[in-house]
Amino acid sequence: MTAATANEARLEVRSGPLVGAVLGRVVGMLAARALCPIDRLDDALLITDAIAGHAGDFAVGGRVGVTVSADEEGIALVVSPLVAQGGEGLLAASELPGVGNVLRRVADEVSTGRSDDGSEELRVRVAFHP
Amino acid sequence: MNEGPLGKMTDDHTAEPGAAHPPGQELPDHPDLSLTLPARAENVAVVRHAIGGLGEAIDIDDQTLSDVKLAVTEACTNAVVHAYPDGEGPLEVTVHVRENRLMLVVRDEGRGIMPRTDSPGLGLGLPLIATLAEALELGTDSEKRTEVRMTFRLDADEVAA
Repeated sequence: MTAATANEARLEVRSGPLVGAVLGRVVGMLAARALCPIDRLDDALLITDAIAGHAGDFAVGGRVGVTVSADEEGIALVVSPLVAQGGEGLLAASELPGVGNVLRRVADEVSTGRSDDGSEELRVRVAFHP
Repeated sequence: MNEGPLGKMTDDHTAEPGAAHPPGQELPDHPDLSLTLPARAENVAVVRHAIGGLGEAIDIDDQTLSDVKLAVTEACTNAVVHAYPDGEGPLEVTVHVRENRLMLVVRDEGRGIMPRTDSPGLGLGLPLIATLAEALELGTDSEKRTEVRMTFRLDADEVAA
C-alpha cells in the first residue's frame, strides 16, 4: 500500500464488468470533488468507459490497475501495468468506426510510456477548462 | 492497535481471542477489487460509492448491499478518525467475492485498534459491523497493517433461513 496524494485513488480490479462499474464511480467522485464542469465530467466518464471496455485485454495478470488523480486543473487516469505494447494496443482499441479514436478525440493529453517501475502504462488527462 | 492479533467476532458476536485470521479464513491471493486512497473523511464516500458500483456489477440484493455499505463506512471512518492521529496515511479496501460470500478487508498503517478515553465517537462502530456482518475479524496482516475483515452472505435465502 503506497501513500496517495490528496485527491488520488489507486484502483485494481479483476477484468470484467467490475471495472467499469467501480472505476466510473471513483472517477465521478474525484472529479466532482475537484469541481469538474459537467461537460468535462461527461467526457471523463466516456473515457472511463473506453478504458474499462478494453483495458482487460492488455492488463497484466487479468487485473486492471488505474490511478485516478484530480486537481483544480483536470483529472488524470493512468492505466498500469500493461503488457508490452499494451498502451498502444489499448489506444488502438478505442477506435470507433465513424467516430475516430475516443481517447484522442475527447482527452486533452494522451500518452503511453513506462512507469517508474518499468511497466507499460497509458496516461490520459482531461482538462477542466481546455 | 495492539501489536498482536485481537481475535474475531462471529455472527453470534462471540469474541474469540487468538489467531487473527485462522485457517479457513485465509483470503484468496488476489482480491476482485482493491482501492487505495488517503485516509481522509471525504474519501469514505468514495469507498462507499465504489462498493455501490460493485453491488451493481455483481447484483447484490438491496438489503445486503445496504448492510455492506454501512459496515464498510464504519470501518473506514474508524481508520480516518483513529489510525493517524499525527498526520495522514493510506486506507486500503479490498473485496473478495467467493462462493456466495463477500469478504471485505479495510486496512491502514496506523497505530492500531486500542481503547481511547478521548475517543470522539460513541464506540458503536465495531459492534454495529459485527451485527451487520456474518463474521468480523480484527487483527494485523503479515505487513503489520491493521485489518478489519468482514464477511457477508450474498444468498438472501440463506440469510433468512
